[in-house]
Amino acid sequence: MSAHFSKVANKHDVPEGHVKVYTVEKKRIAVCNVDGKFFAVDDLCTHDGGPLGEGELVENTIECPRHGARFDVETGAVVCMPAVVPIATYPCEERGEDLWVAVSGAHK
Amino acid sequence: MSESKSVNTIARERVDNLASQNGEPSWLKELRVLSWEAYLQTPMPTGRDEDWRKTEIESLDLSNLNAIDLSTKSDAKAKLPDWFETALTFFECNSGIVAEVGQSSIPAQLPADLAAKGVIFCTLKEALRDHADLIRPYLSKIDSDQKFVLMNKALFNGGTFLYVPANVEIDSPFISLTHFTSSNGSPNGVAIFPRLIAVLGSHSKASLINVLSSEPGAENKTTLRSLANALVEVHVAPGAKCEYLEIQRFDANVFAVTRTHNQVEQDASIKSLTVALGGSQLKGDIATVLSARGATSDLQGIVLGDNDEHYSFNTIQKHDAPDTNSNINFRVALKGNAQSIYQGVIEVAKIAQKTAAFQSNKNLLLGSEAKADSIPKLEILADDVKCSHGATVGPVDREQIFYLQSRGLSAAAAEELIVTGFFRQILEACTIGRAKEWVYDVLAEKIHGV
Amino acid sequence: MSAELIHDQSIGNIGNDYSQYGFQDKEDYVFKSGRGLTREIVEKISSMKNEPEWMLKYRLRALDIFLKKPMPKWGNCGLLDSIDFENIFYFVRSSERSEKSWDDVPEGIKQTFDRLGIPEAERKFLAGVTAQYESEVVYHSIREDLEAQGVVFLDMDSGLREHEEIVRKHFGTVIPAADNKFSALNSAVWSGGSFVWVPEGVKVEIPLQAYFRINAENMGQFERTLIIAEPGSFVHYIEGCTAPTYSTDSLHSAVVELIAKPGAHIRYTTIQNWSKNVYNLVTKRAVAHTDAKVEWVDGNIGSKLTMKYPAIHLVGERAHGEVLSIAFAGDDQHQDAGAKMVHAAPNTTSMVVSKSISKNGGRTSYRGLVKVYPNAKGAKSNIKCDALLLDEKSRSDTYPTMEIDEKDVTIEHEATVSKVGEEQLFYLMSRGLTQDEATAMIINGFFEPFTKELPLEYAVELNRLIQLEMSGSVG
Repeated sequence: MSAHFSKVANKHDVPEGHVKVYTVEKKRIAVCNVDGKFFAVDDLCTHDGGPLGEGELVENTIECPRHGARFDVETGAVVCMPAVVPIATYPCEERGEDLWVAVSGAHK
Repeated sequence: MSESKSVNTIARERVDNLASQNGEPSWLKELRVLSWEAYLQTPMPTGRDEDWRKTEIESLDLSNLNAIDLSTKSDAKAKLPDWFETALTFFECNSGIVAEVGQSSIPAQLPADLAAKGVIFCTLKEALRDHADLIRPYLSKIDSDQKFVLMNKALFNGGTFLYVPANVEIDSPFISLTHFTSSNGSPNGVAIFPRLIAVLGSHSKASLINVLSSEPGAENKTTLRSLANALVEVHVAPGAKCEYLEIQRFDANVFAVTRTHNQVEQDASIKSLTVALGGSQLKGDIATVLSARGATSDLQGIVLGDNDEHYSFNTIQKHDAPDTNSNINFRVALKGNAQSIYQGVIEVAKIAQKTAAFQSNKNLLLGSEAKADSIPKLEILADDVKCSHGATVGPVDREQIFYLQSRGLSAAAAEELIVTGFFRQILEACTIGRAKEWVYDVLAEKIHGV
Repeated sequence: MSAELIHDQSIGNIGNDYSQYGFQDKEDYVFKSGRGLTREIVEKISSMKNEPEWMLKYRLRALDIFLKKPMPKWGNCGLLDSIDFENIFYFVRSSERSEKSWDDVPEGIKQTFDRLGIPEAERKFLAGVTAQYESEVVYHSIREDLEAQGVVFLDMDSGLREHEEIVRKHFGTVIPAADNKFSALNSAVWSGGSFVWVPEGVKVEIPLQAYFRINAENMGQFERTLIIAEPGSFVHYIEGCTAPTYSTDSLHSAVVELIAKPGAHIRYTTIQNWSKNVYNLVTKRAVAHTDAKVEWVDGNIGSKLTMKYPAIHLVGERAHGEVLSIAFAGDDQHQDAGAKMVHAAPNTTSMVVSKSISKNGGRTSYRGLVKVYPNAKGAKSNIKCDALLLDEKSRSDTYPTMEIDEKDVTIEHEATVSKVGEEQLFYLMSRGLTQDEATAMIINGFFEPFTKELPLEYAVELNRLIQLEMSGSVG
């Protein structure tokens, strides 16, 4: 199955060092801007279901506001516990001024 | 089925309307209003509350439910669900049946000899009309601060009343059915609020089967969850013996919240079995209070889940007096993506010396996406006690399947044997008619996805 | 444990009754912060320790998190809410530096640890010792042969100075500041604790020990321990804790992070005997990678309220975790202890044995979690909790939680609560034991799965403590 991209935002909606949450195909996706590069991850901490999008970006990681678990936004890998299971990541492309995210049919 | 006019049926107007349309006495209206006010004061539970953990309570939209007025018309010819007709042949009931099917109620046919002994078995509406003085104290005997119990106490509009006078012993079971159609051609959900009150006088003996069920309508457009909010209160007076069987069989539109409260007095006993067979979300609390010396309770539970069904059962064994015994045996088998959260607590009060309390919860995971949580809790404040609990979670033993298949059974047949074997210990203890045979049959149907 | 050992007074000299622990030293400090928690105190702690900028930032962020986080809504809420954070001394420096030679430790403190029997214990059976007095480590030693093998055993402050890169890479990755209110507090004001690094393949055959002592009234001790076992290594770390008895309360809130890399084995033993005015609110968590093994051996005898649930996150295939826990709660004590096992990889296994005793109105609670993530196929966990209630004033609770998201697992939990058998007592008393002695013997038998895992000297010490608790001679 090929990746199906949806337009989610204008890239200026997500300033550097910030996270914004969008609903894409009924899934809540946190779009992160790390030094001008964009990454899309699940808005759901694998530890306790915390809303990652409400957490802070710390360098290239996103921190869950609930218990401080951190994930690499590019690979989804756990960088800091208490989480032990990686989060899902999704392809995120800049097309002109817009950000496109592929949720279905794409697994990085 | 006709649609209820009011869109938001969980509202104060409905409390008032129920009272006036049923011609209820003012004391009853006051009780409803008190409950309603307490309901408003009580915060809505969320999935982060311990008792409601992982339930999808947020999926329930209380502002868009059409409440059905159960038993507004008496109709001896109302159509019972086919499977219930079948079940009746196994239940071997000669005592009486109260059936509420949607808005129709089938009048109870209480045998003359029982009526002569003073036994009452009727719809709750009839009881409130004909036996108000008798039922009145039982409406407010059991306090609760739980949101959904208060909701039921404010809005109950159907249900059953059983009264067995002192020293009357009845072997054949009483049967209560509450069945409704969970969708009515509109996207809104449907709500029912049945309440069952059973009173067993001192040294009496009776058994009761309570069936709560639903089916989707022919035109199932429901996009919102329907709500079945049932309250069951069983009062077992000194020396009385009660056997209770509850079947919960809802369809995938229904979010069911049930609360059973067993009040067991001196030297009295209750033996109960809850069988949960379906629904979108079943949230069931079963509380047993052993309030005086010599009280005993034996509670069994069976959950067979499949598809996306979600079960959340909480059991409470409360020992408030010395020399009381309780036992819980709750078994859960899950297929597909089904999920179960079992929480059980044994509470032993300081004065409840010489208490024995046991609790077992076993979970069998059949589906690769099935999930089971088990939280068996002990809170023990007396020292001279014997309390223990055990819990297990595991898959079907591969060796068992292999063995059965080597004997020529298909994988599905082997699974059925293993699952029914898993429930056997519980079912064999059920002595109401041939009810257990019927339960075996419906379990088998569900295992095979019929 | 056999009967002889209970009555043998000649082995070990650590404690005959709590008066041996309960004495107070005169307060003679190099630095003592004012009461209460402020940004300035956090900055002061960091600057007095000459810390790198990143650690100061870490502390300040943790302080913000601490201030924002609500108190836990579970456990003993009444006692938790009674903690007055504004009345606590967050940092007390008792000595200018940590000494390597016992002779150089300031005389008063030396006497304290002499009375507690630390130097003698060290000579007898330890590979290394640190002794922490109030906020910082005052004495530290490690056997030369271990040092030669590259084993690092330092107090945490020195660890940060001397091995900044290793610390920075691992610090707070197992327990972040935001994990809970008390880990946030520790992350803001931590001081002391141990830093242990065991090189690949090195097996430290005899235990390393840390000894923690609170002396000042209303003191807050916030040690921070980080143990990293490189692949294939082994280390056993033991900690013991005491404090004088005051009429007002002290707070001990440690954070302990263990990292067991592939094939490594860490055993961490705690005998906590805080005086009954100490709130002991500790976060302990280990991560076990492929084929690694972590054991928490956790004894809770003292404190007013302990809330501690050592956790093991089994993240690598075949990792194994064990918690062996005993708790003893007497008059006005609540031991709320337990274990958390998180299975996140296939064929991981775990075992918890918890034994608790409540007496004289004491309360013990077992609070535990077994979590199995999807795909942790073949995970096995066995949890066993037994509680004894010695009288009608006491209370025991069991709150285990099992969250199982994978089908191919074997999870078992059992718990019992009962009282000491009359028949056993009668039998022992008919053999000439007093009731206290008989009860102590039964209790020793009850705790045996735990004591047999301790080094002999500790087992003896523990038995003696229990015997003293039983005879009511302990304050």
